[in-house]
Order: sequence, then structure tokens, then C-alpha cells
Amino acid sequence: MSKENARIINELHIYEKKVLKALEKSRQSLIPEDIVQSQNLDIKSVMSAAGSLASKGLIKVQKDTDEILSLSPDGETFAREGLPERKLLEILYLQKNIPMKDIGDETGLNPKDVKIGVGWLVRKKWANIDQGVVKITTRGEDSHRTPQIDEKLLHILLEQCKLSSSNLEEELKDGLKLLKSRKGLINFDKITDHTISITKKGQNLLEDGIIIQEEATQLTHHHLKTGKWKNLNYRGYDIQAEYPEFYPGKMHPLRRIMEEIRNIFLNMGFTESRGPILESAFWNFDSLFQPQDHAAREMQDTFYIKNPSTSRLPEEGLVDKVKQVHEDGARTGSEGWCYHWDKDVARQSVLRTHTTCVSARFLKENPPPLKMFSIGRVFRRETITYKHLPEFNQVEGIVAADEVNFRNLLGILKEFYKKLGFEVRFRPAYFPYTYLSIECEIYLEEKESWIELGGAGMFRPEVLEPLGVETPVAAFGLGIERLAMIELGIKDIRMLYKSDIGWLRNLPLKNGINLE
Amino acid sequence: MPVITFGYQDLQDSGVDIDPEKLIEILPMIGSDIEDFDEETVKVEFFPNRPDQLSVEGVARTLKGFLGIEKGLPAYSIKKTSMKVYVDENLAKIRPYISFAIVENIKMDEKKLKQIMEFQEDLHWVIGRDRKKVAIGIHNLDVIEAPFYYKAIDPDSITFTPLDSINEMTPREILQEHEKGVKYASLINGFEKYPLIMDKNHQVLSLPPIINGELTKLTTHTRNVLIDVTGTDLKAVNQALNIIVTSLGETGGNIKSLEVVYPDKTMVTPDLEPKEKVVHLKKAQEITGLDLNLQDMEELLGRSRMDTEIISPEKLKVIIPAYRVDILHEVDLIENIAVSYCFNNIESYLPGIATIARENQWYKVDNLLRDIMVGLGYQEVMSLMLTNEKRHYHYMKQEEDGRVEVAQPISMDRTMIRKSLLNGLMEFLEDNKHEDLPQKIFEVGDVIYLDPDQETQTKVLKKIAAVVTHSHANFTEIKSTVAVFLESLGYEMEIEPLDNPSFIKGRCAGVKAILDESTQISGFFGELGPEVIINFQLEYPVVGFELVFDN
Repeated sequence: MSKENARIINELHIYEKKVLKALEKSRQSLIPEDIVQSQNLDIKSVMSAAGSLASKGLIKVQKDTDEILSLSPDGETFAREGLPERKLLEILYLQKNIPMKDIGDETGLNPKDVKIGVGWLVRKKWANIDQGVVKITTRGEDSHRTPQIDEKLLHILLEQCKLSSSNLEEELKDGLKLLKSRKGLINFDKITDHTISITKKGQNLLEDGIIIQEEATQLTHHHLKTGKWKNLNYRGYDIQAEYPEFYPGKMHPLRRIMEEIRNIFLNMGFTESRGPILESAFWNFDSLFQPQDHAAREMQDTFYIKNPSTSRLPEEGLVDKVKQVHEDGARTGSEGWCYHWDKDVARQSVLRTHTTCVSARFLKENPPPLKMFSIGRVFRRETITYKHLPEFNQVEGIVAADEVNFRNLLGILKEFYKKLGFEVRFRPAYFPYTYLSIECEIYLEEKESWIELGGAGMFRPEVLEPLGVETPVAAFGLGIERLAMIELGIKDIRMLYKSDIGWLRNLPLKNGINLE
Repeated sequence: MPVITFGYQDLQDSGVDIDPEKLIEILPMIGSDIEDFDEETVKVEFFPNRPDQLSVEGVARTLKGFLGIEKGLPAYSIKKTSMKVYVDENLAKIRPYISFAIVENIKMDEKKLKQIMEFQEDLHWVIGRDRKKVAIGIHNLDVIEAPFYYKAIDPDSITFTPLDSINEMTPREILQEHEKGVKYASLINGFEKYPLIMDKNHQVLSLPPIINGELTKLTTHTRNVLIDVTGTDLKAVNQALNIIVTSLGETGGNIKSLEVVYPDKTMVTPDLEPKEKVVHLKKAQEITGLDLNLQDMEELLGRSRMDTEIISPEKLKVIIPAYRVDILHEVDLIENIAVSYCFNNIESYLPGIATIARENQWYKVDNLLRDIMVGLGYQEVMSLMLTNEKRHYHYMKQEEDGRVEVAQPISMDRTMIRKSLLNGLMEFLEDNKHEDLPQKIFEVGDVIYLDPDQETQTKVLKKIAAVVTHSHANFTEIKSTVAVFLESLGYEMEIEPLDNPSFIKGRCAGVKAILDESTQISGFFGELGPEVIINFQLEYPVVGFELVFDN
């Protein structure tokens, strides 16, 4: 047996096999009813098996459509009692002519039948109408005892109930035409006859031998428990068949990228930290040496809070040191910003504009040497567009130790970006809280250009001195959504927060994870 | 950040003869971001700490140093004059400071005129805080006569023709009617008197910080200019003046000083006296990680347009030009050394600092919760924390309560910080109502509650919420989810009936799980009410839960 035939046979449903067997036995074309009888199946199963076999090219199903005639209730009445014109002719034959107006009284027919009857008398040329009088014709005289073709058909239908229109004698076909022209006497029903015959491919399969064994689709608990499986044939499936969609549960792609970054830092020995999301201006700005009239602190860019509008300031000592450093640089050797620093401005609550405040808080509490990072939500007063959101995630890392220097900062950045899969280069930049400030640019193969992704620098003495930190601190950070857009290949940042569930479901999991 | 555009030819005119291709390569290395460039011009963004680079002359000055064309302190000679500016004592509470300078022999043409205007506007932004802190006026010197008067005047006492106008107006009328007057009115209209600058003959030069007079308007024929800078911060006023004057001085203008006579003191402006600072060799070596000696540092600082003097084997005295307003500390000089060294030439290496990483417990728990939900077949989604009362409370049929409210929201859609995650999930379903069902989604995220005991008067809480929608979503399905979720965390689910207006009455359960005294999880689950579902434009049943972690 060919492999192909074996596969086809294995995939046959038991009903399909039975239909094939029936054809094998009879050696001729069959109608479905024959198979119903010979194989003890119901007609629905036979038809469905035949359809499936035909689609596999194993049998041929020929369809013959026929029109079946039967009498309507009106037709039946006419067939029993005679057509109205026949009734009129009977009377007319005796009286020879009757005035139109008397016909109803003379015949006892209702006005509708009188109208139909007179019409057909004239149409069949059994009578003519002359000055309001109906007169019998010779043809009418001749037809008196002879039923016409339409009447013959009516009688046959009355006797046989149903007739196939294709099997009618020629004469009766004309009768049918006449009856068809009268509305509502005859019902026409279409029926289709199926004739099933074996194809060459099917014959070929039969020659290979089809064994009919009791077969099952689903392996059941019962089969296993009773051992019934030993006598059952589990039919093979069409593995190309359609399947119902199944939706996965996945981590959000942005979250996966945040996790990737988190793991990079953990692998590099950075401890993870966390800080308040709603923060005092003191920690968000003042502790980072951002002067109180700095542009970034304006209502335009920063979300200030209506409720609760203020935060508590930390211990007096720290507040005083920050005040001094802003006003004249204090003991740092800096000139400071030379203005009057206002506690009330520092008390204002804001939605943190960066995670750098987490670094400041961490440095206050933890002595170097240390490596720390934090990932979290930050806020900027941006209108929602394809480019900007009012909130996004940022990652920030710091390294504090006696021996840490600028070249180390570059080294950490190179390593970090390498782990993300990017080549990085640096150019001088400016941030109020760092010196040796740099902007990091990564190379994008597909755009063949360098794009800005992250900033870094050494924390200024004006930041560190009030926090009590005596070692240099290298710091760097970047916005995660921007990186996510690159890695996920999306142009609209809103997709990350107002996501299309189809996109989330279909996004391959490797996205966001560097497979390198 | 400020952006300036200039031509390669402009640079060449200022003494920087450089191949455009090389220029494009080098500009980022002096601390700029190239926005765009073509065959003739380049558009660059500079950081706000370097307002001295917001003119083509300033850029040329930096590039000459960086490329070694011209090193050390740029020399500007100032000729002293006895011209005086008298400052009215009544200005002390309005706009107390003014500085003046004269620059003569400027080669003015259309292009130069435009560049000066743009430079002035950029300085208004960067140093002037949109004219509040500092405002600059540049006048045609040849139509006015010293001495000058900086006065506090009655807003209705005088009329003059403001710039780009044909009618004489009083200062009060200017604030009410003139385009610039309306725009900047708030800077002075709270005072009884307004600042005004006049000359000997009572001709009005300017109504600072609003507008100049038409009289002294610059044209292509102007050769000699008078510059006034007024403001609320003397240091910033002088910085702005120095930056403008030195920039004009770069291309050959002759600078002259004036005497500004305050009631209690007299100051000569501009004061271009360089600043001095000391930089320590060891500190520079340690911080940059570069193997430098004093001579290297002198060379590199020279390329930053500074003069130096070795004062000991360990120390260098650095003489810093007056236009460099960004140098606050020795570390800024160290930065200049590194920039002149060129970042591209600095080799990196990893620090040899061994530390052990610790994960933060909070995020560790987040990940655990996520793992369980993903395992249960739920898709994670992320929402913004900013939301609004309508969706957060009203759509969910909840009563408003204490919450973090934003002072100046970007739109009425984002007025508060979420306290619950459920409405974010409902919004997600709303956005995806035409996508295939079932939809099973969850979010693990931070919410903020008010808490007067905390430093920030708020506290962040961790919440998890999930919703499911499909034609047969029901109570049992979500109950199973909550039960298995809590079991996976090692908790027993304890539930009791709960009336929560977001849910169908009798189909909501309060849930509590206690691990120990300090840690507990509480929340609710059930079938969302039809009104809530309809509020989010949904058409199929929705069930959901929300749990808060309190410890």
C-alpha cells in the first residue's frame, strides 16, 4: 500500500469507509438511500460522509435536480369538481346561448368563477360573446364530452399526487403550460437526487483494502479504564484543519524591557532602590542644586500638586546646608547661585520629574562604596501626542567610591549599553547637578544614525556636600519608553499605554530581550 | 533649549576656516546637538549653561580654542568714558539694576541685524527667564545723548512712540494696547510706577522690560550702539551685558564703559574683569582618570579660552573670561580640561569596585504577582497614573474621596493620581471593544493615597487588579481566579458579602487574607454592574477583582 493511500485511509471516518464499502459491494452507482439501507446509517451521516469523500476525490456525487408537481387545495377542488369553464359548457351545451347577466343564476357559480369560466370559454374557443350573450361554438359542442389536456393533467395529479415535470408526456406538458397560466393551482417543488459513484482514486483505495473497525475520535477515560482502547481504531486527524484561536497571558512589552534593564544592573552589582513618586521640590530640585528660578521648575514643565500642596522638609541640618550651598556655595568652594533660597518653595509638592531624587535620598542614607539603581515613573507637563506622554519611566544608576572617576563612568555606560545591544558614544552636555556631564548617543543600524539616549555625569560637590558624601559619585540615567520604542519598532509612544490587545497578544516574546 | 543657525561662511568671517564636514563632526564635541545642516548652514542646539555660545561669534570663539587656532583668554579693550547713567532710588523695589555699555564701529547689515535680534531673544530666555530676571535693549547711540536716566515714572506722565508703532502712547497705554505690552504687562503692572530709560533731552530709549522706543531702533545704517540691561538680579544683569558686549567685540567693535550711579554707589559697566579660580593637579587627575601634568592642563585650559599660571607644583591659577557664566567651581574647570582633551580621546574602563546587588523587595513582589497572573493566562497591561474624577469615580459609581490632585493639569482628562487600577483596566477594554473575546487583562501598579503622617503627606500602595470579559463571564470565574491567585501566594481566601457600587448587588465579595500582623491583602471581586459596563461603552459582561497590599 502506498504511503499516501495509507494516510488517506487512516484519516477516513468510519462512515466514509462504510460508504466506500457500499460502493465496492454494489459495483455500480448508488443513491444515498441505498447506502442508508445497506450500511445501516442515517441519511445525514451518509450525505456528510459522501461530501467529505467527494472533497478528497474518492467518489463522485452527481446531482440531478427535478421539478415535482402537485395540486394546491384550489387545484384539488377543480380536479374533483371540474374547471369553471367545463361547468359553464355543460349548461351552455343544453341552452346553446345564455345572456351574460343570467349566467350566475343559471349555473349557480359564484361571480369570480363566472368571470374565470367565461374568460376560459372564450380562450378555449368553446363559446363566443355576441352583444352580451354567450353562444356555444362548434368546438364547444365537440368538446362537451371530451376532457382537454389540462383537465387530463389535473386528473392524473389527483390520482398520483406527485409528478415529475421532466417525465411528462408531450401532450401533458402543453396541459401544464395551460395550468401554469392560471395562478395557484399547481405547486412546483425542486428536489435534488444524488447519485454516488466511485472514482478511480477511490477504486484504487478500495483495492488496497479498507478494514472497517469500530473507531473513535476522542480517547476517553472510559477507554483507558476498561481496556476498550485495544479494540478501537483512533482515526487520524487532518492536521491542517482550522483551529480555534487561543490567547496567551504575557508580560507587557514595556515591562519586559524594564526587567531587562533591571537584570543588567543587578548583574553589574547595583542595588535596587525606590523612592516617593510624589516628592517635595526639595528632593526633586533643591537637593540637586537646581536653583529655585530654574526653568525646569516652572509650572509650565512640572506638575505641582493642589492637594496635598506641600511636603515636610527633612531635618533642619540638611535643609540649612542645601540653603547655604544654593546661596553662596557654603564650604564646597562653589560660588553658589547667589540668591535668597526660600524654604517655602522647597516645601512645594511635585510629581517627581526624574528618578535622580531617589539617588539623592539613597546617598543621604547609605555610605559609599556603593552602586545603586532605581527604575520608576516620572512626570513632565507634556500634552499627550505620538511623541510625548505626561508620565514615563526612567532608570537611574549611581556609583560612589573614593576611586571612581570619569573614565569609569564611561566604562560603566559602555558596558550597560553593550548589554542592551547598542554601541554608544559620548558628547559634552549640561545638567545642573553634574559636572563632566555627557549625553549618550547610540547607533541605530536601521536608521544609519546616532540618536540621543540617556545622560550622565559626576554629581557636583554642591549636591554631595549637603548629603554628607565625600567620595566622587558617577551618575547616569535614561528614559525607558524611548528605548522601548526603538526595541519594539513603534513610532507612537501611546501604544505602550493605550495598547491594542491584538498587538500585545501577537508580539513575539523575544522583542525587548536581547537574544545575543 | 536654545537653537542657533549660522552659515559656514559666517564662521569663516569670524576666523574659523574649517571644512564643513569636519565642523559637523566637531560641533558635538564642544557640547552641542546638531539639529540639522545643509550645504550652507548648520542649526545647532546649545545647553543653557553656555549663553555665550548663542551667537556665531561666540561659537567661533569656542571653536578657535578647541581647534588650537587661538588659545587663552580673549582680549577685549574697554575705553572708559565719563558718560553717566543715573538710577532713581524708587526703582529699588521695581526693577533695581541696570548696566550699560557702548559698542562702536559695528559693521551692520541685514544678516548681522537679524543675528543680533535672535541673540538678544535667546538671552532673554536663557538668562532672563523671559525678561523677568533680565531684559536687554540695544539702541542706536547716534540719536541720543548722555547722561542717561533710569527712572521710576508715573505710567500716565509721559508719551513716546514704542518700537514698530506710529503713535505716541503712555506706558499704561502700551501695556494695555501694544502687542508686546500686553504680552509682558504682568512683569510691571503690579507697581505704581514703571521703569523708564531716558536721555539728557528726555527722549525715551526704553520702557524695560517691555519695549524700546522707535527713536533708537537699529537699522543697517547703525554703526554705534548703546546697550542697556535691566533686571532683578545684579549678577545676571552683568552676565548678560558681558556676553553681548564680548560677542560684538569679537568682530572688531570698540567697547566703551559708562558709570552707573545708584543712590548709594557708582559702578562702571561693563566690567570684563576675568574671574580667577584654582585647580588642583591631583584632583584633576583623580576625577578625570587622565594622566595629566600641569603643562597639559595649561594647554587644555588655553583651548578653553582661559589663561593659566602655575602657582605651585600642585596648583594652577586659572583666569576665566567674563562671558563664562557657567564656571562656579573647580570641577567646572576640570570639565573644561576634559572637553578640550576631547571625549572621543578618553579611553574608558570599568571601576574595580566590588559590590553585592540587592533587589528591592517591592519590585520583587511585583514580579511574583505578575508571574502568577501570566500563568493564569492574563495579559499584562500598563496605564497612566494620571486620570480624572469622572472615570475614576463617577464611571465606576464610586463616591469621590481624598486624593492627589494636580494643580495645573494638562487637560481635564488628567487631573488626579489614581487610587485604583480598575478604571484603567475598564478603559483598556473600552479601547479594545472591537477585538476578539475573551479578554483577560491585569495590571500590577502603584497608586497614591493621602496620608498626613508621611513626609510627602501621601503614601504609595501596591495594587493588583484584573478584569475578564466575554459573553459568559461570571462570578464563579473570577472567584476561582482570586482563590488560586491567593493560594499561589500561600494565602487562604476569606470572603464575605460586600456592597460595592461598582458591582451588581449580591454579586460582590470582600476578600481578606492575613499572613501575619503586619502584612495583609484585602480587596474585592465580583460582577461589574451594567451601568459601569455601559459607562465604558462595553457590551459584554465584565468580572474583575482588585487587591491592595498593605504592609
